[in-house]
Amino acid sequence: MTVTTMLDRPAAHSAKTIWRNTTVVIGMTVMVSLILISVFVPVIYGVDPNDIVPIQRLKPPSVEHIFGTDAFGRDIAARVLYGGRVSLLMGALVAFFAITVGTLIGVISGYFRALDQVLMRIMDGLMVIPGILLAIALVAVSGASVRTLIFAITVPEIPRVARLVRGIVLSLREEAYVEAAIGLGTPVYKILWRHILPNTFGPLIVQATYVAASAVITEAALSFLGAGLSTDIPTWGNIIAEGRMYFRIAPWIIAFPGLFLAMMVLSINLLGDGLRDVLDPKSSFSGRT
Amino acid sequence: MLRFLIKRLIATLPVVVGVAIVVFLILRLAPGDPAAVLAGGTATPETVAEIRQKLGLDAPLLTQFFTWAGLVLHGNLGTSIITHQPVWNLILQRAEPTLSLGATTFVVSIVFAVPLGVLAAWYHQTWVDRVVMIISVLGFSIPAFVVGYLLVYLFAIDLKWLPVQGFANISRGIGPFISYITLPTITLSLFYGALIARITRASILEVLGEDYIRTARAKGLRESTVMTRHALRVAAGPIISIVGIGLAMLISGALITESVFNLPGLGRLTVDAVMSRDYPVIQGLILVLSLVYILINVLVDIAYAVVDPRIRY
Repeated sequence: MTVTTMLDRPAAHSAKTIWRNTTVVIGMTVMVSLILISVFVPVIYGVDPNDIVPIQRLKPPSVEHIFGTDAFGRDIAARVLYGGRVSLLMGALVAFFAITVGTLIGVISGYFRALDQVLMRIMDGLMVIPGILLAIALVAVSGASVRTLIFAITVPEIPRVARLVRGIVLSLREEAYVEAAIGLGTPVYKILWRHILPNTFGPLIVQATYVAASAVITEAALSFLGAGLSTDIPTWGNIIAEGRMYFRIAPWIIAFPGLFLAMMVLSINLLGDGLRDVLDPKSSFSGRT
Repeated sequence: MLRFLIKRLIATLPVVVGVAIVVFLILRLAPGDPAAVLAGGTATPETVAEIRQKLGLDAPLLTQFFTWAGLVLHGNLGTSIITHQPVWNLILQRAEPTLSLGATTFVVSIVFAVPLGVLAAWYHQTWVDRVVMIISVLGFSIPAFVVGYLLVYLFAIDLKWLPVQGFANISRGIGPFISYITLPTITLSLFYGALIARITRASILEVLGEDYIRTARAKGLRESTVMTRHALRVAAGPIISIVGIGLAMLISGALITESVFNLPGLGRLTVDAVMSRDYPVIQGLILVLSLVYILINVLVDIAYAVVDPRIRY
């Protein structure tokens, strides 16, 4: 139902329509600010996040340390700002890989019936495994590094993308213009590239924002549970995990990374919700299931 | 009904096999030598060889799969590398807090989220709708371990209304049980309830656009009757199926929430297993929780068939 109504609409949306949506503007502004801050931390905030100053242990926020310090006397502000880099990297790369691989699997199983059953059963199998547990298992067997984390967080996200794309491809196959192209003897790769893929663009952009938001949360959760990067690379999750023991006496260790994490995920989700309203208004169902 | 049930159960078999294959392959296809990773950086070659042999990693892949699947079918999930206890026992010992948290969250989420979703759809594009949507996007976006610590700080440390962390078995009386489970339940319900409220709103909005709703209104029925008798009845289907699909997120969320509140449940078991690289335990947890999820979704489908008058079995 979603797919056909979406296809009936004119495909192009001018940039103007998108920018008229307040949710998109708010989400985009916050997200871009956080990205800029993370990219330019070394320039704008010249404190080393791993600088241990024993006499400055567990100091509350002050002029000198605006977010306070942790149990090793490290500056929380520096750790939080650098921590954003890992989250951003995860969000962006996981969204990219999950969308790419998911689209590939979705197109193959939607277009080539022979492979459909096998691929979709594997996707079903992946989908029923709670995402965090699957990621934990993958990290446990291959050790935590940036590369294995990206892999571990991407895998649980793939099935949703694959199902979305497969659904679109299945309904497109029945469209007259695709049948016409097949009848004219157009090579398969051209049909897929010219007629099928462009139609997945709108829903996939929306899906990509949700995957990115989910990847940022999953990375933080893995770090929090002790399955993430070691603490010499600060991440929002591992700063919070380290702050747990001192929570009663030094709540700021958890509060600031928590705030940044929440802002980041919220801004990406707002962007996604806004884009969905503009690009894909009928599909309030498909985004978040 | 029985035929529908049997057909539905048979349809889950390929998924169960899919899960088994995925769980089995995770360890075997990981880059590098899993035995070495599991043994840790400081292990001697003898320890690595011992682990490899213990997990049967030295046999051909297919043999490994069928040996493992045979054991699992007999209810043998293997033994923990660390405590040498059967994984199945470990899971049973830790199940109660997780089940309690899951059940309270499930009830609280549905009791609050469904009416909120209905209200938002009813007052579509008014401030009621906006407020519900803002709460739900917040519930979705703020991770459980951030909300959890915020609640602990407010209600346990600052106001001292509720205990900070821990768990009381229901056998210790309903009072202590509730006082310990309240904050974890709120934490997890914000997340799970946000999902349900969004879907309730969306599916009711969709149903409200149908012709038969216009007919019902044209007949002069009261708006409340249209909403409860006509719209909600049909919208219940999608809501129920999201409640089921969302359980995978509920399970993930429960593991993290438990960790925040120090509940001695499956979440703690998972964290301990990760810390000590106890792979058989992680594998057993994935398998058991995935099967629970599949089973609940069969029940959800049955509920769907019962509420939706259009489905005949």
